[in-house]
Amino acid sequence: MSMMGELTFFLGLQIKQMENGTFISQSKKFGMDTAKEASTPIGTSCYLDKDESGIEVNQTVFRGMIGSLLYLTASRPDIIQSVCVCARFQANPKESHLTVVKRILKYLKGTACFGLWYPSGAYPNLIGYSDVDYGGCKIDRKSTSGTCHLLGSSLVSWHSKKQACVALSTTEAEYIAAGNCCAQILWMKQQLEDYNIFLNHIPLKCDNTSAINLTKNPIMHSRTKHIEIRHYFLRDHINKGNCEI
Amino acid sequence: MGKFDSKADEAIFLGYSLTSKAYRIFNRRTLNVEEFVHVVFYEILDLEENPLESNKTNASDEEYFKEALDEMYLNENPLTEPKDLAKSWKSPRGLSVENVIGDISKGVVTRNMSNFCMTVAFVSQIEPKSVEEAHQDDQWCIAMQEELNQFERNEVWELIPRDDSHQVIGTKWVFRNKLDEDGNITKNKARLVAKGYRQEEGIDYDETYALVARLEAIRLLLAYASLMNFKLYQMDVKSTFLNGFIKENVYVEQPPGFEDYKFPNHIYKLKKALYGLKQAPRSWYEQLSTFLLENDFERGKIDLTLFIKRVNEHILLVQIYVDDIIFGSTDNSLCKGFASIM
Repeated sequence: MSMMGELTFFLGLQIKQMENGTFISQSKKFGMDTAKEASTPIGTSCYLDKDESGIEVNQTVFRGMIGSLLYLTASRPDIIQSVCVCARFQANPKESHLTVVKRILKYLKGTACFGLWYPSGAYPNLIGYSDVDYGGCKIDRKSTSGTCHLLGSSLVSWHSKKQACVALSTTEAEYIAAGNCCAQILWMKQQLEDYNIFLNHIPLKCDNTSAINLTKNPIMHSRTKHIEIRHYFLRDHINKGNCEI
Repeated sequence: MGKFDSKADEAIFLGYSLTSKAYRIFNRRTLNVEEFVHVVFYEILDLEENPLESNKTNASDEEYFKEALDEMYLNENPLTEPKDLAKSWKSPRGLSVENVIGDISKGVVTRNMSNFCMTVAFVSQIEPKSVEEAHQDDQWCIAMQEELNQFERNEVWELIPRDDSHQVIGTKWVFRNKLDEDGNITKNKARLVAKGYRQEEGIDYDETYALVARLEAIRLLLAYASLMNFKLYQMDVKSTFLNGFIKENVYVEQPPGFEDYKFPNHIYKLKKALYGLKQAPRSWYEQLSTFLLENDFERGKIDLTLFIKRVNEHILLVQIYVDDIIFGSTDNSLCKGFASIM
């Protein structure tokens, strides 16, 4: 057993502990030293599809890039959405996909020093946010949900995931995303109980009124009757008072 | 050269042999002047390619070789030796032959070259593919011996006679060079591993898992630490998996190249886990968790890799990621206590 002193480097994360907070960052080499810097990770009008007619690129290289980018998301929530979008095309990467990945790398080059800042001394309350991109995937029209969670004023958990089923309305998509977010909140709530922090009525911010109303009033009408049972677990937990929309 | 690269020695061209049709070269590995016909030339380039030499100037190299050469000539010529000896007899007391001539086989170590010799002579530059290859290199032999010593110290296994009823798992050496930030080789690491892929579920092991913490859990801990204003510390464990006791009876072959000369046909019965065994991470986790639970820690309710100790108002948190441990506490004395019991 050897003592290594203060926590500075863990699983590739560089951690700086200071008087007024903690800073987490990762720095990596991508061999794109000469590239121009981009100010955003992905273009706003960028829609990727399978691009079957495109020129094929080396799958191993593409996967390697995606792999290291995914690992980088451990300290860079800003690129998670764009990386996840690119990761969907790993099976058959084309040149158009590679360009998008390179754009992310360019963005990273310009923002290499970015990281997470965990300030000290704030009151530890938990907030969850959820949002959804309705029918955002051009290929199968599934929606992508994104959630993030803040403890005090530090961002601890985030995710971006294409939903498993096709949503018929924004309400349904938002409802599913909020359900995911709730599950994560419950996990964090349990974990915080181990740290002697007991929270109830954790706020969950959702930007769709009908989805919010759906959690309060189980109306069964023609447009919501098909929503799967497992998504109703959100309502269950709100009734129990674990979280609050 | 290609496939012979790993067997070849690096040398510096000095001139031509006086007696035969060969090159006279200075072998960097053995630090001897030798005569060879089988030589492939790399122009001055390889000095720059090799990061070890990049910070050395050519001038110091030359100076070193001159001295080494002089020494070689002295030793090669048998007539000069008695003279030297005679001189040393006359020298003041306390000056032995070794002090004057030094160790002949070692070559000359001048002040500015001592670093060069340290790295070249004590760390092997190659990464052997097989045991036979490793045996030809002294440094790798030392590395393997070190690994076996570690086994001895941890009482990992005992030698027993072979019995046909036992399923015996083969062992294998894995050779890796450890690099520092600049890509220089700092250590030759030999690791004896079991061929775990020969194990079958239900016969050799029941359960396998490695304990890894979720990244979110680690971030949550970091956020909590900064909120509560306490410092986190980390530690790691040497030869982690050699610490875990195993319940199942596992037998392994003797390590290739290091068979016991008295009982070459015996096998080892494992008392503790070996790298490569399916149950190694699990047994380590069990070892660690029982240790922590004995020391008044409680396991996290859902996160099994989190251990908590509550003393009055204060709390000590220990997060485990296989062999890396992060810990921190609201009370600094708790931290110190934890570091001392580990």
